[in-house]
Amino acid sequence: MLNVNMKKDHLEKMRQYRKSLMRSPKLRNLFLELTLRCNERCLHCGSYCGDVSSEELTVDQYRTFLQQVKEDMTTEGKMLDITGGEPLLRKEFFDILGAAHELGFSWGMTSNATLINDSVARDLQRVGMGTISVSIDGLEDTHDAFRRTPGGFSKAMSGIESLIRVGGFEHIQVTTVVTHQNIGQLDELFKIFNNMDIDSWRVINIEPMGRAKQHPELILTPDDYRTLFEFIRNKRIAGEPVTYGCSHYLGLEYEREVRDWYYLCTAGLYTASITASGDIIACLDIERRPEFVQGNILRDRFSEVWEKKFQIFRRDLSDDNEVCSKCDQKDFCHGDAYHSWDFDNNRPQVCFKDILF
Amino acid sequence: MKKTLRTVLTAAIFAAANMSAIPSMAAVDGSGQQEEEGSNTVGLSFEDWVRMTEQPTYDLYGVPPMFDPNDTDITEWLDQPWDLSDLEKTVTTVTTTSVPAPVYGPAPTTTVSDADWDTVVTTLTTSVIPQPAYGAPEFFTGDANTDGAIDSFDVITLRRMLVSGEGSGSARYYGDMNHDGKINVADLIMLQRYLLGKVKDLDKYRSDEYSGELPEIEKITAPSDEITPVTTTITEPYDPVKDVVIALYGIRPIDDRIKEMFGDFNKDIQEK
Repeated sequence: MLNVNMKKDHLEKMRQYRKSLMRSPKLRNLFLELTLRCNERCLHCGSYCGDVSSEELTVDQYRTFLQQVKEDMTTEGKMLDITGGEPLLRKEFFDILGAAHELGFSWGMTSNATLINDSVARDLQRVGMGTISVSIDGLEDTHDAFRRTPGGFSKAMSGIESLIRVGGFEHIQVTTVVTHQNIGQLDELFKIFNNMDIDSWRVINIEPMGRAKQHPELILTPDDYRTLFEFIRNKRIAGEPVTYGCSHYLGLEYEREVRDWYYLCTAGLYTASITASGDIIACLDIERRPEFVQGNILRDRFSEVWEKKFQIFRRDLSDDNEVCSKCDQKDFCHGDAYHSWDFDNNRPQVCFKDILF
Repeated sequence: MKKTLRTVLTAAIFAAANMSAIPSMAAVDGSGQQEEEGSNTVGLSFEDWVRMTEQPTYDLYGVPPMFDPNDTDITEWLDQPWDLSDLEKTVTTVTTTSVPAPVYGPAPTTTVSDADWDTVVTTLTTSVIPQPAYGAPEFFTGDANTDGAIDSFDVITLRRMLVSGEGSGSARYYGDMNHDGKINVADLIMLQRYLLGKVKDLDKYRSDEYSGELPEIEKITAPSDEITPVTTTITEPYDPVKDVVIALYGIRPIDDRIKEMFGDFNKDIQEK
């Protein structure tokens, strides 16, 4: 374990830095939700994606929007994060990202990779995709059942192999959502991914949001969480490129040990998102409530919205809850992630106190 | 998966932190008295084991006995031809499990013994144990110095192996805690956590990749007492700008963008 006093010192500096970000936010990650349509129906989907109708912006609307962002904010230090649904279901996908590429934006995407073959991989390279994160949520049967897509696992693995074969991408990552049902498969999955030429493996816990709320049997138990984080830490001790995700404060023992950074919810500080219909929100994982919509790119200039709005996200959630406000970790946790905060009852839905610390 | 400079540095950071701050292997009994480091906090001595089992002192390690383990005359079986099936024998074992008292909290209650905080559970089991032709029987993983006990002396032995890069065959086998064919810091940490009672089931962490080959030692550097330690002075203060998540949803920015993200904000801070 890394030095606790050092971590406390760093977390205190991070707290100060977060305060400064609340006064002067700096856009780094701009998510574009191209569609809510998806060819899979994952049990844990936070956006209820699937075979649904989806309002979608046109190529020209995206081009206009990105042009404005470039004029007002430049492309420097910014990353477009393309997501969905399954972004590749958009038949205008390569037109939209071609426009982004021409304007000088760097971009990466999430995908289930079921629609990726060598030809698609070459097209992705052509329009400037730098990085990609592909979802694999267990061994074959588990993955297919979880995503309710027969044959999904083999198609996804084939897509990853196409990406590797075509090459030219800076980072290819596999993401696995760990549930109570698949946590016993981590070692097997590691063996599989270790034999592939991917760059890293992100291992994250299922979140109590979206469709996952209807499946409490999938939510991790306290022992599951401890097993998960010990697994990740042990792999990292051995120099393996395994990482936890961005969510949640993990306490002094696991902070900075299961990922290369200290916890900070960047919603509204570094991160903004554009939904499929053009609404401007902070993070796509946050519950879609009207009060969280800061504007719409079809009627508002994004840079002005970023500058003047988002105040609801530029504050500490822990101030809204009596238990949190008295917790000795609140300065580091600040109420934990926005996407897992229960805004009806003003309390965190995920808190690792008494589990990890 | 690709190991990068970053993953190697991460492993090195863990290794450096562990080598410099290994906690004392102290256990606290109910009275609050601390045991000194290096004491036999877990397990019985080899002589105690022999006495309890009333077995002759035959070789526990290496090639197992192929005939009656109570037969003290071993010259007969050495002359016999043997095949692989003989290596799977029904043996009667006395499994002694020492449950270490946790550093914090109440002692385990598997047996009641107010006076003796180091509770011992002894069970007699008869099982077919497929012993390897060479190498450690399963139940001695962790006993790196092969003294019949798993304790802080094994931590020292394992640590020495990692520093020197050398170790006997037995030490390597029993020091390979997760059975992945390598001796590295992960094994050292697992052994420590096992002794602290934070890991109870070593089988949970075992890799299935054990090949039977002698585990390789992944040597790490450590300060030598004979050489003046090199002190690395950190001239730059901790910069939280570079320690905030940059890869959301797993979408990692390209390297040039990362440099801009870090450099650009630093410029803003300086201007303010």
